[in-house]
Amino acid sequence: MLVLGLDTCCETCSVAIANDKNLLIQTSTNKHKKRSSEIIIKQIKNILNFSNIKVSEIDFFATTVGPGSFTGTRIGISIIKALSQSLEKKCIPISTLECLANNITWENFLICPTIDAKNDYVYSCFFKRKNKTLVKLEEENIISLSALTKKINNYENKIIFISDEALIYEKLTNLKISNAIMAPFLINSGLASSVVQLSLDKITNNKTINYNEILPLYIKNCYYEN
Amino acid sequence: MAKNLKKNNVLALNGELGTGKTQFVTGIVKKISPKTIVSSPTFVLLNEYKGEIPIYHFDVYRTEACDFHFQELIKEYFSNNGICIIEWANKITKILPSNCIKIEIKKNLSKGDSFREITIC
Repeated sequence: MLVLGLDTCCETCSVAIANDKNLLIQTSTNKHKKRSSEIIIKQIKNILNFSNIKVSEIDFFATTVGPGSFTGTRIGISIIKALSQSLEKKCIPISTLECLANNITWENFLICPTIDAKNDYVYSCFFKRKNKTLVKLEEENIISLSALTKKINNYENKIIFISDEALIYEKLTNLKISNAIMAPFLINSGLASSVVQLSLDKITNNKTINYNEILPLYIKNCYYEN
Repeated sequence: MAKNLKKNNVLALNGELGTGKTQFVTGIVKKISPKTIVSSPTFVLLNEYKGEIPIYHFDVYRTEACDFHFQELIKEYFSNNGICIIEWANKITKILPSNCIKIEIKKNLSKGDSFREITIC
């Protein structure tokens, strides 16, 4: 069983292939000065060539569906939809915040992944590890950094922030929350490895969907209500 | 003003109909990309002018431009290493970056039809 997963929602574009036991190959490139659409197709072709796998041998296609970049999200989803439809395979949508949180394996921490939403807002969602399983504590949301600081001050646990962008790390550090630490900075490691790992669980539990059911996860800021 | 503009600058341009917002943009583009033809993006919502620094010329007068998805798309242009100029920017104040340059153009008919008062901050 082979699953191909990609992420174009965040600062780093990445693609990975896994079988039911191992991550076989992953490639990631920062979007610096380029667009995801220029990078991602080349990355997909390269990893298929390099690992001697034909695209028709892939059983499932997975992608992050957001939250994250507006256009980035659409690029990843379009590619996975096209591959899934043409090869008649199922797809798997994965949240970017869950992918970030998945990189933290330590228990006893409140895990807080954050993705830039511009103008001092971030997308975030609290998780924790319980007996090695990643547990989601709330729905993905958009929140200002000041509101996030207040929200976190109500937790007594140690908190670990994780993001894939240097700018957000800087802003989080400047919040000076006393019981918070920053996770090792994943500057170029990409999220596709988490995409495929989280997909394995969904495949086992039959939570895969058809190409025409996959949708971006856009979270509306409350200021749009006015 | 055009001489001092840099990548990722956002200009929020406001003024009533006929005050010359698109003319203002024409002047700026003339300095940065001299051979480019500027037109009003009222219907297309966005014109992109290529050059040493790309210029993204928006017009958000129409309600479609105030739609959530389009505003999310506009936000991405702010950090795309170009200069963004947004006509009728007061319709989308919530998404404008805090360091945007605000420009207001007003007529003053007591001083003549072609007189304009331009405030920049």
